[in-house]
Amino acid sequence: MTKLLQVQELTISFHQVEVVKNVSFEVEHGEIFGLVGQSGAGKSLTGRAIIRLLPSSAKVTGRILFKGRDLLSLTEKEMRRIRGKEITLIQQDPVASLNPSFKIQDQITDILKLHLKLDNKEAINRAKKLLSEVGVANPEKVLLKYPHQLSGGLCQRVAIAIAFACEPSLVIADEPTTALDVITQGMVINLMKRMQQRYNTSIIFITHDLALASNICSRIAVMKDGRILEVITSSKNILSEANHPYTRTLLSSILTLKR
Amino acid sequence: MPITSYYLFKRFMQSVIAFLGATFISFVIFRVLPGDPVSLMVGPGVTEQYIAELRAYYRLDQPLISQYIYWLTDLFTLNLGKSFRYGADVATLILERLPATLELVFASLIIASLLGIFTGVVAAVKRRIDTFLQTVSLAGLAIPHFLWALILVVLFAAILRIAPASGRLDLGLVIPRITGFYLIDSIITGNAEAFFSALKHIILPAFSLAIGMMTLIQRTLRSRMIDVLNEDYILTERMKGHSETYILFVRALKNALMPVITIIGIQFVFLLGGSTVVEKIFGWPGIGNLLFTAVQYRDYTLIQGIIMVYAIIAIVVNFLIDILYTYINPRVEFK
Amino acid sequence: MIVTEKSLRRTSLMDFLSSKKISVSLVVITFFVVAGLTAPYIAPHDPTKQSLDKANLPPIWVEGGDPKYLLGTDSLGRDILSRLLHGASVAFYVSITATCIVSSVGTLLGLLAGYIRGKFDELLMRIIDIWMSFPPVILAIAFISVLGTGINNVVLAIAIVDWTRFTRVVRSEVLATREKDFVATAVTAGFSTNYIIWREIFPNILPLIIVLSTLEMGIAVAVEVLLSFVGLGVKPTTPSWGTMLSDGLLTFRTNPYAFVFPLLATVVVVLSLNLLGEGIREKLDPKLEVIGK
Repeated sequence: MTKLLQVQELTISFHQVEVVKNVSFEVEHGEIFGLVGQSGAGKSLTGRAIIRLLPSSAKVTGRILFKGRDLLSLTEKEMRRIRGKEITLIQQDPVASLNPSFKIQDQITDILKLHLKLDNKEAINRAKKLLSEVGVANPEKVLLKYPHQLSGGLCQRVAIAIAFACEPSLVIADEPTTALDVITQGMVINLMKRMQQRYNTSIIFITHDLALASNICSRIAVMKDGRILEVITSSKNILSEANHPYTRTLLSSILTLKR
Repeated sequence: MPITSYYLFKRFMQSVIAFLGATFISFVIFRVLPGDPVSLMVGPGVTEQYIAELRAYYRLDQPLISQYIYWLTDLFTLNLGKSFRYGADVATLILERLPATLELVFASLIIASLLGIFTGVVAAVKRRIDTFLQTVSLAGLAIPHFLWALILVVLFAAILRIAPASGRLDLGLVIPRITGFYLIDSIITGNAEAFFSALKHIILPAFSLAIGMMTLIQRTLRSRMIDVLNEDYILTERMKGHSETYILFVRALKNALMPVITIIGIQFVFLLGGSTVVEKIFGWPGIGNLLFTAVQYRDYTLIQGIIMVYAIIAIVVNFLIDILYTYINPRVEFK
Repeated sequence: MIVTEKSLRRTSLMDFLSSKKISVSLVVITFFVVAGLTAPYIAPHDPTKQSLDKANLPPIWVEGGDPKYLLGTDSLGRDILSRLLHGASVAFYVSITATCIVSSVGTLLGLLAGYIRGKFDELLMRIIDIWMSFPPVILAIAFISVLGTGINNVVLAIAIVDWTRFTRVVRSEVLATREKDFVATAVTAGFSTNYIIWREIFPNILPLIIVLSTLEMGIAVAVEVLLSFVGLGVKPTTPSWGTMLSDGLLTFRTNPYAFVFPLLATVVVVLSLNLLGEGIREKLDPKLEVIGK
């Protein structure tokens, strides 16, 4: 079976400056794949490139094979059919990622109506179920609220519900816990694990926190200055040996904490 | 939502105070005339006794306070006095012509809003249209309504001859008075010819009034849209797979409308004022035209009634706009 | 010694002139102001003199034109050029006088209300709210119907109607300025309110006042022309672009020039004053936003 995602020689540049250089990696079906690095390492841009939501000034070369098709060769119209249905995105700031002028209900049912062609009633029902799945206590009440009336954790649950609404094959999670407190972080991580298992979705988990990534990801690509240095594996929170000196430095800082 | 109701209640009380203040101002203006208003009204060659009777009728010899109280109580019974020149009730005269003014003003508002919003959104995304509009908009903003009316009437009516220069309807056409709005009544009675005639006549005057506000709306919206389009939630909307047009005109626009509503609220009173002269230029049979006749004949009761009605329109519309405000923004706080 | 923050950068005259907006509009306005000032001396004819045998002559470059009447004559045989020149002097007289009154009153009230606040401020804002619920044009017409026509009454009407808007804008700028650090420093240093208002706050709002005044001049010209157009401005014997417009509109078919020339003059002057205001705003403080007319 072909791999779900094959990124090959991806290069992203802005105004002749390369910020992502020749990045290649693969993601299996149902795998949680980590993309770890410092700020500016290029991990967010890589994630955005996959769903093709980069700023218009970005120049992209390479191939992004999703289920065998090169996403970079698709027209915008074709890409829109994939966005929201097969590939979705979760952002860092949960409250900011929701539209302040629309009720939560509108923001979940719209994606259901768009891709699954549900009518209003069906969409609302599915929205309620989704909210329950992500652990929201009173779905009916929450649906009628506006984002500014909800906490950060609750908003992130909503964002996760939106991301999984159409049962996509791939979810790109761009620092989904960075803006949250530690306890909520744990909640979101567990939630994402549950959703992933339930829908067998692959997740690309982007973060600067290697320890966090080791918790949830099976394989982790370490990025620095726009390049992938190496890919390490993580199983039951135990990280494999690393070859690259940079990765070793990162690992040792974690091990120090763990001790 | 208790917060919203409190806000609206507060705004309503403010409107009431504004209304009372307006009654006072329109009352006071004509009581501080140099000279005797009645003699100015009637002109020369009239007996002393007639003037004395008129003065008693207008209660001019009573103390100011009682005059004001009479004025207020009359207002609440919708009695605006009798027009000296026409001999009819001021209230009747005004009500007869009010729909014409309201139709013109609302048509302008609609044109300004729709075109302003559309061009604002487009300017936010298409660079070339934006630069073009930026150069042109100074003219839109600087040139007052009546000058636009003159420019338009000369260009389109006199030179190009594609629109009529005056009146509300072609001669010979009659529209039964249901709402008083020709555009609506002609649709209700299914009279297509009348509808298009009314449309032809209202286009130039409505446009002259709309241009200024349209330009302001366009500028404001464009700048706000650019900010909105850079927000995280727009990325979410794009991620969902919506088309760019849907995102622009539905998901983004709603977030950008607030300052536009504010602008409309501030500018409405200027548009209302501009409508008077535009009515004169286009021979539009509204209360603006009536005002000029009243001034010409020094018919102070009529003038007083008309300016009072203008103030009321401004106050009511501003209040309605505040209601609209709370609908557009779920987060509105009262000041 | 208190160091005051001055947003009025030490911009030289040359820097001002480098702005296209400012230089172009300044040239145009100077031209008109000079025309207005010298009108009595350079106008070829008496603007009110009618010569019915010479009515509706076209300008000199059109066939039938008469070199004695460079821009032609109107329906009563009056020389258009002379009327334009005198109209310019009327327009600028009204504009400058009215703006002086409005800006003085507006600045004073805005400063006091904005800085001292309290009951005075509340009362003033209430009055302004009520005042501004009347459309300005309507209010001006009402005042003229009480005061009578005439050039000075026009000035008065403009001042009475527009002082509110000016005051509001100045006041809100003062409100913003008084929060700044240098004001707090002055207060703790024990300077009197008078000093703070005039030596600290006023210089900082001066750019705004200059821009507002320039824009106000544009508004004043427009209102003068408007009032004269509807017959509620200058006395009928005084030439004004407004009266030229109303006469010209009536006789447009037979003599378009009598209408077009005053229209062009008004549009050009109003546009230039606005352009000048915009140009000055850009030069002095690009962050200054003056919304609404």
